[in-house]
Amino acid sequence: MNQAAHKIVIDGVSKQFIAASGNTVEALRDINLTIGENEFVCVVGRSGCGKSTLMNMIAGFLKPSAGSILVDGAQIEGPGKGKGVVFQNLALFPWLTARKNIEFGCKQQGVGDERRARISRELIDLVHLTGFEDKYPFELSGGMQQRVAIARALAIDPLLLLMDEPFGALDEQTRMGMQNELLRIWSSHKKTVIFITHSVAESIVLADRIIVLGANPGHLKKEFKVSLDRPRDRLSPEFVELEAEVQDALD
Amino acid sequence: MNTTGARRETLIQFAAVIGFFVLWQVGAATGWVNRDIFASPADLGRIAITQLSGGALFVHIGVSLLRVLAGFAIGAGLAVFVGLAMGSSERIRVILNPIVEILRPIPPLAWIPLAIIWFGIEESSKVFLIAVTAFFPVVVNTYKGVAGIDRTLLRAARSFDVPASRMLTRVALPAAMPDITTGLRIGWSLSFAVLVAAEMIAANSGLGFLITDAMNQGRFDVVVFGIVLIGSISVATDAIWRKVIDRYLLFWHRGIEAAGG
Repeated sequence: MNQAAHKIVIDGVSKQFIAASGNTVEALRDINLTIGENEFVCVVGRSGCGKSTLMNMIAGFLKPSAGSILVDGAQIEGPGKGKGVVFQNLALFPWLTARKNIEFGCKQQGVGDERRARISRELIDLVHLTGFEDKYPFELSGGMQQRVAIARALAIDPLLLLMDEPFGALDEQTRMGMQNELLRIWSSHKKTVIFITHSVAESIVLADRIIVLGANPGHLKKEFKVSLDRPRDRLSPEFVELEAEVQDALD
Repeated sequence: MNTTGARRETLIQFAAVIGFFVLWQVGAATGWVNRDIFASPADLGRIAITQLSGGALFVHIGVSLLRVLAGFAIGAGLAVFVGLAMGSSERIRVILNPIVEILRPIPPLAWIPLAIIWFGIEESSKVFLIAVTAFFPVVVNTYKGVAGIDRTLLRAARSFDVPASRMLTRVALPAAMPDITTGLRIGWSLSFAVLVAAEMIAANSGLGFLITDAMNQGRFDVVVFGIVLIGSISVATDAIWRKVIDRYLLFWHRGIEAAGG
């Protein structure tokens, strides 16, 4: 395949950490993966399989011990530069209102007041936060905070969107609602998305492709292409069958 | 806490204070409290009227508050700066932490002789003493606040291209604000206490001087008046601090009580 057609090329990436005990811990070994433009990829694995480490390397927070990661053909130099991240604990800035959180990235990039206000207005509308834009994070429900975090990452019009188990802390009902929201947002703002989760069902609801990671050390175990039409019916035979297959690969 | 609960609590607090003064007055009237050495609330009221009409009282209060404000501004301002540096740079922390830890437990009053030698008995020695007093609680709380900032918050800022040079002002300072304000309040009340003590030792104005001066003249009722006045001013200034903090520094927070203040 032609390398230029890929958004992200992960080539022979390994990552070792020095643990507190002084021992070297191998978190990831020889990961090879390519991700296409506007592809929605879910990375599934048990805790300790290195899925967050992989995301942190793509985000530029960590450097691979070996191998390389290219985004649009260029080596990752560090965080930022259009790599939007939604964190597991959201990491909203608590001293800023929902609107100011969403505008934060644009402000750092020196986007003018008028354009910034237009971007945040559109996103507030898109993630259904109208009426709550001037609330502080502590005044918002978990699902609303979630939507602020997604809007904040989208506001910089990122090259790619990295999401690290963003719905992990939500109750099942809210979580399913957020999954639909995310798909709705993604369909109107096409992005390359890498979504980390430990929920097999979540990965099948969302992804174009599912990457299953194994543990000790983290390695690529299996890939599944999900070709079901969206919105996907969790109770359809195809869904259930795929769920069993992915679950099988996980175990 | 809901508003009715808060209002109830305020009412009870008022009732408790009034009840205390009533008991005290009754004790004095029945002779159970000796008025020669411990004035009654009614005596204090009379003293307040004479003192206030003389105008000297305002000078004492004003002088004391100015000293605290000046010393506090210098000490706390420097402490926020040093605390931010210690919290954000491992190297600065390693160098400064032992020095802070050695100086911190020294009771501020132990600095009085040096303060007088270095700065004389004029205003600057008092301001120095307050600055030293305010410095330590603020520096320790600021440093702890910055060091304890959630790492993902810093990562989030980096993912939005916040330059390293702006990290401190755009992220670390606001994120550490709940801890910094705790330090400011502790620093303020300590400063006030230390100032009064310092004024009792070496001063010719201020609330501490008011008390020693009255003692030298055998006016024990004025001594009691001074003590009650100092307590009241301390409570009032702390209340002002809370309002300022809630409105301007922690408006985004659940409120000062939840911040552990």
